[in-house]
Amino acid sequence: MQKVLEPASNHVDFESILNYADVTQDYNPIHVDKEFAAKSPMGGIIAHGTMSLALIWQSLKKTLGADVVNRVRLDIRFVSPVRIDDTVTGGGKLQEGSDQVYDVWVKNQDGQIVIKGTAEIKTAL
Amino acid sequence: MAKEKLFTYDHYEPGKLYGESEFTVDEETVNKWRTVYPDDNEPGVMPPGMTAMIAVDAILTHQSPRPPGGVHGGQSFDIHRMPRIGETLVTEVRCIDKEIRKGRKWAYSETRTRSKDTGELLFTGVMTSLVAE
Repeated sequence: MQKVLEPASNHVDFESILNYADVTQDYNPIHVDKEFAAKSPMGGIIAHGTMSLALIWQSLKKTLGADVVNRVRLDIRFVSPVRIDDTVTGGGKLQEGSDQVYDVWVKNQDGQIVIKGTAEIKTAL
Repeated sequence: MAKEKLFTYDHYEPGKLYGESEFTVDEETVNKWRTVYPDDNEPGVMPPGMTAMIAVDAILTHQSPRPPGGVHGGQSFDIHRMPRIGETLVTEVRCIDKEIRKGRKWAYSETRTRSKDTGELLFTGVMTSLVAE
């Protein structure tokens, strides 16, 4: 099992947030309404958390292959918001002493963690 | 919107099944997904990131309308097989737990997604929500 997952990145702009809202049908105004979001406690638009979560899946697939994705147990927390013009990168590293569990994360361009958790690769049946 | 109609903390009942949603993994939706993530191009297979879309949509269908200010705090998935493009899925939504920690209200909603044709369990998930009211 590879020790480090290949990174997967995405630049987040308003258009991609709107595209994501369109495909997921999640039009929460905190994601799509600039005026509403500016007046909210977030102080502006934030991207859907699950939009960045997709980068962890991409990182797992790039590194371990599509078949392995069929036996992943993923557990994550959304730690910080992702904003317009952020570039976020998903990645991970095999836990010390383990050959099945990765620490996984998504970080922004400043290295700040926005999502963190674990991905366990279950044994093939 | 009348406050009493909102899906609040009191409406989460551990063990209760709230309903199920159907979703077909059609080419059109997958192509829309690929406008955001062009690298998710595995032929014939649903991009794994779409698991979150399916789970969240089912939960928001059956546990809503939610009071503003809630937060999607965490998410887990246990994958058994990634759905194929063209496959129709059925996702059931259940509350599995809720708790108040340090004055904050947390609810845990489980999704179980099966192939409609075969009943095969494809993936499960648990959404952790910080509930506003």
